[in-house]
Amino acid sequence: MATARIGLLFSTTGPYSALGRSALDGALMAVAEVNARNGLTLVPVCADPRGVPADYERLAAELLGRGDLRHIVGGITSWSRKDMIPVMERHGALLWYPCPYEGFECNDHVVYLGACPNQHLVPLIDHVLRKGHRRAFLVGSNYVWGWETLRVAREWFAGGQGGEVTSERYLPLGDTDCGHLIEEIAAQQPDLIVNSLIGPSSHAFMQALSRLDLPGGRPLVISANQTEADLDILGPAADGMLSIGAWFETLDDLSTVAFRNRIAGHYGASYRASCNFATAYTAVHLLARGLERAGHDDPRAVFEAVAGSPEDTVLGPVTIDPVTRHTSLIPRLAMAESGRFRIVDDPKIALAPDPYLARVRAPVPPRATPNLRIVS
Amino acid sequence: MTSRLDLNFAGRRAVVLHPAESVRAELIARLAALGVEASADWPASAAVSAADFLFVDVDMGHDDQIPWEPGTAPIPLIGLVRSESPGRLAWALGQNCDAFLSQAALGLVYSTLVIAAAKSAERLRVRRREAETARRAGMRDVLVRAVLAIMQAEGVDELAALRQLRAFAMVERLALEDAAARYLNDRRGRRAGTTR
Repeated sequence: MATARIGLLFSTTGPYSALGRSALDGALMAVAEVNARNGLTLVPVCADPRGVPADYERLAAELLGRGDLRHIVGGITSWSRKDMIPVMERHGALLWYPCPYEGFECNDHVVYLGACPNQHLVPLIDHVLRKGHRRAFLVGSNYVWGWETLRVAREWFAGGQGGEVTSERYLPLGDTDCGHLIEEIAAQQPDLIVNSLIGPSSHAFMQALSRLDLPGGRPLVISANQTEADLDILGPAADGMLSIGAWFETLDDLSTVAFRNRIAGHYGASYRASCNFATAYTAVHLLARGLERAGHDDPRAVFEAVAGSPEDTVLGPVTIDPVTRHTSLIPRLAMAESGRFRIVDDPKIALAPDPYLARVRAPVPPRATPNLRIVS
Repeated sequence: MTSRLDLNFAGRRAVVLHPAESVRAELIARLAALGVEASADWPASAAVSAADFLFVDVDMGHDDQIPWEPGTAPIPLIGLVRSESPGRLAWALGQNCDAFLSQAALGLVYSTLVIAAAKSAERLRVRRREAETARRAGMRDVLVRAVLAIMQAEGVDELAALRQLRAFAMVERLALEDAAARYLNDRRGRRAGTTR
């Protein structure tokens, strides 16, 4: 096929606009690269839901209602993805979702390109447990990403490894009032904070935490959703935060070096790319490959054309599982230092997706057998 | 329901009873992604006796396919819904299906397993409790005889005798009726001992 319209639905304004802008930049750069090849021409149709949940559903319906496009790359939060899915189903369309999420979903109208918990939170928590962290304070945004990632964290810490959850707290999406959280942390003095806050909530929390002076030093902060897009806003408050992601701009392999150079050529040498950028970029390139191989934009044919076998991408060689529709990814650990991520661990090998955590089990907590009987 | 939810099904076995090959293949693939080893057959399968979950087509399903009395599934039973004809839904409800999965939404099989496992566990718990209540109700005469025997032996009224029997049951960690049976049995033993 010569030309295909694709929808790009990211919130480039609103509460988590930094993440949306980063993803949109990645998607648009991939569009430019595909179009420069003089084969398939992608015509991006952009829409900005401004971080308003209801606008995702409305704008997805508007894009698909035009009748001339059947693929949307977009969505940052799980809330937005779940709101778009019924629209995708009604139109027989395909959503290319480029962000890490909490798992426990396999919809036939979605390609899940971001990591699910066996590729982010589980290896991250295994790492800190190995390092001896035991007392965890859990904090997240009050929607499904926060609830489910912290549920996994709670199960892993409460398991038989001597861990303890000191508190589990939630902030409404976009809320920046976190004084009570800091007071609680000061009182409980955990040695670890699992941060599943997103956008301004996370920024306010990290800033407030950086001002907290504890005798034992600041607890280690870990997160499965903090990227380079957050570092600029966080500044020194991010220092020492351990993040896990499928891509960091400071990776030193040849593919990333070449990709960084292309990004610099496209957006300037000072541009900061993130995991969302690289994944949205990958989504558009995979979509283009699918369109070229299928020869038309039928979502099922396009999906089948790219699923099931390894594809070379900037994230490394990845395979989209044809059944779960999730992607194998390399889980990389990185520590924020002076505005950059220093790679702590790059296993080089992609981890197969396990969106229902069927192959990893939460440690089972030791259970005391009750020795009582009520006689009636 | 206070028990912990069953959320991980890796290593379990499922049987799918469905006439359509495409539905069977898709369900088997989706179950495999959850670590569940599934086989499919129609109309019946010998593998049902070793299965942890049974999926059955509501449209074509019938009692003879299922090796237990209708409504008494010993494992989680999941109805696969195609058409919505009232007669077929009545059949499925008579089988006490623990969960239903629309054939148009096989991607939701995980939540169906979670619901079916929880509902089945609850159904089996209620059935065990009902059986235990019935067993104990059948021992009322034993309870009356034990109370009378204690009244006689200890020279106390019926309330004191019942209190004594409760204390005995508590110490022995027995149901009250079983404690009554034990008391009568022990007393018979003691009597037999004294007459020898």
